[in-house]
Amino acid sequence: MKAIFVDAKKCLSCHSCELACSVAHSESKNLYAAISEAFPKRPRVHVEAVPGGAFPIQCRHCEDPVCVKTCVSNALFVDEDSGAVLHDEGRCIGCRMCILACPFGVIEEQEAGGNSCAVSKCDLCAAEPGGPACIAACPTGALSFESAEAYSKDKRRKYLIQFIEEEVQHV
Amino acid sequence: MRSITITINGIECACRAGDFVKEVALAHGIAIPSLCHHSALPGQACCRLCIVEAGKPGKGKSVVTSCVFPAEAGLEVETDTEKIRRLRTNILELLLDRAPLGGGALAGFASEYGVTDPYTPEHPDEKCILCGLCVKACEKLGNSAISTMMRGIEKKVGTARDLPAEDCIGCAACAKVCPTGKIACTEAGGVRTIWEQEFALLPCPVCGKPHITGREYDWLKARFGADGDAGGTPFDAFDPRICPECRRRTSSAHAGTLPASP
Repeated sequence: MKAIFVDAKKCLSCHSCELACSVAHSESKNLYAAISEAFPKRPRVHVEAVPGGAFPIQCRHCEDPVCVKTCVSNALFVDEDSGAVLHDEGRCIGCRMCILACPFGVIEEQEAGGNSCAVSKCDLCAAEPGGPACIAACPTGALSFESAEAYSKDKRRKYLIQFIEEEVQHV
Repeated sequence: MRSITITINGIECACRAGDFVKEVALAHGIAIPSLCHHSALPGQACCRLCIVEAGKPGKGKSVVTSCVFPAEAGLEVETDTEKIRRLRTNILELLLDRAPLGGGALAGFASEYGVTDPYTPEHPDEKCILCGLCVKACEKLGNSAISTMMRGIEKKVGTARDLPAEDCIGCAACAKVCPTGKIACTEAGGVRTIWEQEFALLPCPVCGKPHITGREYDWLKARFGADGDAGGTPFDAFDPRICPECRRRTSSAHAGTLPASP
């Protein structure tokens, strides 16, 4: 199972991920057409200012998701294959309890006209063949989409390289 | 359940025996007009707009409501024949006569089928078609603050004795599922008004923005408490009184200032 990892040090707060997210979930998949749609799609990733920088936050796809436990109509569910927490618009009754319950505040109401009950939350771009749009859009590589094993392996490797370099200097 | 194949508008659709035809069509991207259908609140079958012609090969077809018609192997369904369109036009005329001011999806289908009310409506300012989706949504949340009341031509949806309901948490799910925009929910100056009841919204303890009703908070607390349906999740792990924006900011700040990786 792959997840989105964030390296906050590399985030420049350019909001490219937010734009790419909105476009990827729009009807037209085109920036210029997307902003003139009747109900422009909200970004599902949010670049938040934090002390000393910025942090792009999106659904953490929790293992024990509070939103899924809150949902009375099974509109929110955990996808068995990808482990992603997904939202089925057709089953949503619009009670907004998931929005109030999400510990990370990353579920939002999506205006869609009529009696559509849409909430917008990260779906790891399940419909996109190339994986999450925010990853591809990030110019500095602050966001990555990989398995936890691959992430830890990379981190171990980087640590060891640094460790050896320091040791060499001491010798 | 057994896996079978039915044919909708000439397209072969795989499904399970007993699945409702409307749901099978939805899953295969075939749109059938309907007002009272909701995947999470099945079994209404009262707007009648989702009628289709269905039958086994060689046995003729009959007009059925697809939202409660079970699929069986070899069933052939036509969703948009001339007969069906004519019947839908009649149904829309009657629905418009019942609810002349009905907006939302009802107004949408009326203009799609080019229908206007040929009769003189009994209640010129009515919006409700009595589909009961709002009642079912409220029931689903376990609140049952609204129900259908009275009989015959006086039948309507409302709170008990038309008084502000103690069971209403002010979540406005009823307004969201309503296909005709009958249920009004307004929010102004930190007060949400629905079903003639005013809910003072609790302010976010961080930024002070009012965003949640006290009863919504109690509802979540009951659901996540020791005896709740979602028991086992500590309610203290999140505080619904903090608004989503502030929660986002707080958790970002927390994650963004963790010890940096090499």
